[in-house]
Amino acid sequence: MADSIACVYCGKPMGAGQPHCPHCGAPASAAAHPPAPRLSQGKSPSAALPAARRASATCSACGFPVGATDIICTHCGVNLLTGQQVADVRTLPVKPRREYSLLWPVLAVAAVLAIVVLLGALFYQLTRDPVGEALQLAQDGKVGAGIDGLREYLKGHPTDPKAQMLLGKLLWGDRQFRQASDAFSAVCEIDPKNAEAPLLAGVALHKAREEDSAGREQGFWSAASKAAPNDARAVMLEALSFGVAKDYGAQGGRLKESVESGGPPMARVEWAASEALQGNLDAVGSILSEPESEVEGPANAVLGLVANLKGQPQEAHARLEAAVQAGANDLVKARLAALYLADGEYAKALPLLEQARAGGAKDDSADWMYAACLVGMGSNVEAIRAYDDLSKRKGPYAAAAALELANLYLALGDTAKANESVLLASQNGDDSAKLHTLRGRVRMKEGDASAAMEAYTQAIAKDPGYPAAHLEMGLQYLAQGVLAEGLHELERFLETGRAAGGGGQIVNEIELLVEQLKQTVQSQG
Amino acid sequence: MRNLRGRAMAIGLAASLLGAGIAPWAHAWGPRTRGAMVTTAVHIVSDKVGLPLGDRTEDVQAGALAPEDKFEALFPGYARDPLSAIEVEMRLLTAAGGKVDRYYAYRLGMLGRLVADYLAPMRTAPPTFRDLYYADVDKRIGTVALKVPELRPVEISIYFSRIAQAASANDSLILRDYSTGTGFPGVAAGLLPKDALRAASAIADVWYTILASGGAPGNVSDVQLQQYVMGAYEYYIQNGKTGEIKIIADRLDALTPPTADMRVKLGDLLLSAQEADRAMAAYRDAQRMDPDRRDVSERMAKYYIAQGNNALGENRLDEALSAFESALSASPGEIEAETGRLDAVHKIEEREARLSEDRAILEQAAKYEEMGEQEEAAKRYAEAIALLRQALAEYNRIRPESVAEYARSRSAVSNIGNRIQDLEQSIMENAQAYSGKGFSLDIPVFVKKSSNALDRLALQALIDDEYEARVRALEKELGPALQIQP
Repeated sequence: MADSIACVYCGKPMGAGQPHCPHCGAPASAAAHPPAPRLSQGKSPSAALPAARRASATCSACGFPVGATDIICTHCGVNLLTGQQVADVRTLPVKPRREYSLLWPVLAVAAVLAIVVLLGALFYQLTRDPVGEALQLAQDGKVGAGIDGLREYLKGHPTDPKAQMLLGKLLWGDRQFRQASDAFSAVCEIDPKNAEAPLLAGVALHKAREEDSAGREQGFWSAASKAAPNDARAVMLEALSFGVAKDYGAQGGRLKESVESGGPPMARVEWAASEALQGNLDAVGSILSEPESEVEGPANAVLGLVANLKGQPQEAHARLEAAVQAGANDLVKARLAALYLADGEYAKALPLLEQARAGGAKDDSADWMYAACLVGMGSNVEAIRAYDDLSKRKGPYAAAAALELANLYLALGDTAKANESVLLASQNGDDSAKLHTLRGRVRMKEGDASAAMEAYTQAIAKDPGYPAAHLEMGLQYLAQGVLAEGLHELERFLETGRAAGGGGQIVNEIELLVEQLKQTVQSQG
Repeated sequence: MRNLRGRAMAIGLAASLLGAGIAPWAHAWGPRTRGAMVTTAVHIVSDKVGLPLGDRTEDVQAGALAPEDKFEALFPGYARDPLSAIEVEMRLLTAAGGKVDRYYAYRLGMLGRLVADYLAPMRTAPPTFRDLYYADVDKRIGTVALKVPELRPVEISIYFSRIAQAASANDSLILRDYSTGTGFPGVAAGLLPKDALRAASAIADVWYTILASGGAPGNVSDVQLQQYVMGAYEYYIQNGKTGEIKIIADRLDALTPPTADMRVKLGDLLLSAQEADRAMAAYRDAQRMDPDRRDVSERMAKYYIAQGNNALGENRLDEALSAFESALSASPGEIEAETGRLDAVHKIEEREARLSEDRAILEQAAKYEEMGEQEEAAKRYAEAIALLRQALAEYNRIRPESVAEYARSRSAVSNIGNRIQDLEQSIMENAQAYSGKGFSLDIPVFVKKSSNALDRLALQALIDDEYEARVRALEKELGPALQIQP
């Protein structure tokens, strides 16, 4: 540091050979000929400088550090010599002119002072570094002050990229992500070739979690990819942002280009997903014919979902199972769970649904399926809790959950609660065949057979293909001893049950029952 | 009085038995006359001698009324020399005497007829008038009381010559009456009691001589005795008295040693009388006596083969096998027997296989029944009925030829039928347990309905998650750039 000297103006270190102070811009020659200290009237030069004033002195008004030779505080504008605001001087009331000979000298002095002040201010403005100051403030832990300083600075210098960048970073550190994004965005406008700024702007905007920000984020990714076309991150993000905004065609196009130019393995998978979402199911197979091993999990997920859409349940099973094993997301797990549920494999479905629910899948369908699994496994009490919760959520499954509750209460023998649940479903706008069928069962339990039959008739009128209504009506006929009609309805149950794609135990049991009833009819002649 | 009544009844009985179907007789008394005479002689001899000849009246009468061919077979040329025939027969019956069995009584009857015919008036008259006479006598014999005074032993040469003369002494008178148109009401009617009594007495005397007065002297040849023995067997067999053969067999064998021929003939007789076992026994006796008798082997084999084929036809396989084996035993190497045996063996093997199959079916049916009971216990009535019906179907497959298994199956079928009825009733009553279970079909329907939406949601989530992950990764990478540096 032997080559380092102190600037006589700001007191900060500067190189011995530098022509100007890098901090305030004062000429280095001033160090050899320091300016004469400014004197106040009547004061000796030696008394002009307050003894307390040193290179590291601070403003008496705001405490901002000032240089040893500073006259005006650059922070608050106070006259360091007089302790008055420069504005104060300007706004001092003009004393009425006295009619004595001191007027002109006073005016002259004032004029000189004003000129001096103005020159001083001008000099200050020309020599100060607000960005550095802000930086310093931030480093000193005064991020807010730094931000304010920069904002202030940027009012007059909006196209200062450094200032905007620094502002953005400070705002980011202060968790004002939206504002940070704006600052970085300004840098993008000032310097379109800056590849870093749009990335920062996009990430900051994303972290702000504003609704419908995907489009704006997309703009940043586009800018980044223009500034750095080889940056795969920007390319992928731009493409995916289209998908987030549900513009699958644009996503597919971008990703296809990425794949063709050797992009990351995941690009192929997402390209396939976008094709699937556009309905081009057959294209998916060729896109994902040979996925890389690192993306085998997501690839299997896409292939499994597409197989479902194509109505290929076995293929869907195998692919989705592989995807889940490789760590698929909650909705993929829920989808596989749905397949297990449809096949009656409740024990397999339940853990997947538990994971999907725990992972925060905000979809009531997972909750509905979870409750259905509990019923399938005989855990009626837990199922009641789950359905009860769903029925109170007022979501799309509220009415359906209420109906399931009714069925469970009937199984437990609680006809009153079953009736309440049916009413709840009705109040939620349900008027389905299932509702009428359950109403019929409630009436039957209450001993009102004719009301039960009426309800079953309504159910069948609502939906002639609803199996449960035929089953209940058939059983009711049997209870009344009307064997032929009972058989007819049970056979309708079998037809509609099979048509609905249902096999399973109940169909087999009723099939056997029908066979036995027919033989009974025959043996009775 | 009792004797008279008895005699009258016997005569009446004989007349009625013989009344129908009067066969033309050969130059002698008619059948009713003969019958009356021998019956009278039976009673007289029974009374006087104390032998239970009365028990054999039927046989005696059968002998007296035997057809002509029988007489001709036994007494060849007797019409020309009836006295010799009488003498021979007396000697034979003396030799065969002892116990008056049926055949002996029969032969006595035959002898009685010979005697009666020999002492018949008009025996040598022209046939026309002779036959008229005998016919007239036959109509009126029932009115004649035949009372034999005493029994006398007969010495053939003396006895018959005297009374034969007496018998024919009035032939010319009788003939004259008939030729002049007077007919029987003339001399003949008046002489009838005497003529009838003469004949009846002669019969009684002859029998008395044989049975109680030392018999007729003279030898009897073995052939005669053999003929007598075979005649006896034939008589018993043809009259359905085969059960009594055993009783007389020893006595007959004692009369003359049985020969192989006799045994063969006996076997033939027994066979024709459906007494196969005895016939075979007789044949075996013949084989023992003369092992070279091929005809016996053939007879036996033929019989057993017929039995075997019959049994095969009626599916009595064990019997068939036994029969064929017997045939082969009787005639080793008999081709038809061997063929039959092999056929029987093969069918028995097939039957055994069927029996094994039936046992397996029975076992399976029992399993179905047990499973049905388990389902019933678990109140799954429809399933129980299905299993019981399966058991029923299995039980109905069991063949009647598997006797024990078939019996079990019939019992089980009856039991199962009742249980199925009960279960059907239970089904109706318990069908309500299925109420509420139809809603389980809603789940697959729901899954299907929301399938596409779920798939699209999941695909969207893949995109969103990847985007999120990349943004976070980028944030991490940009960390150094966010440092605040001078």
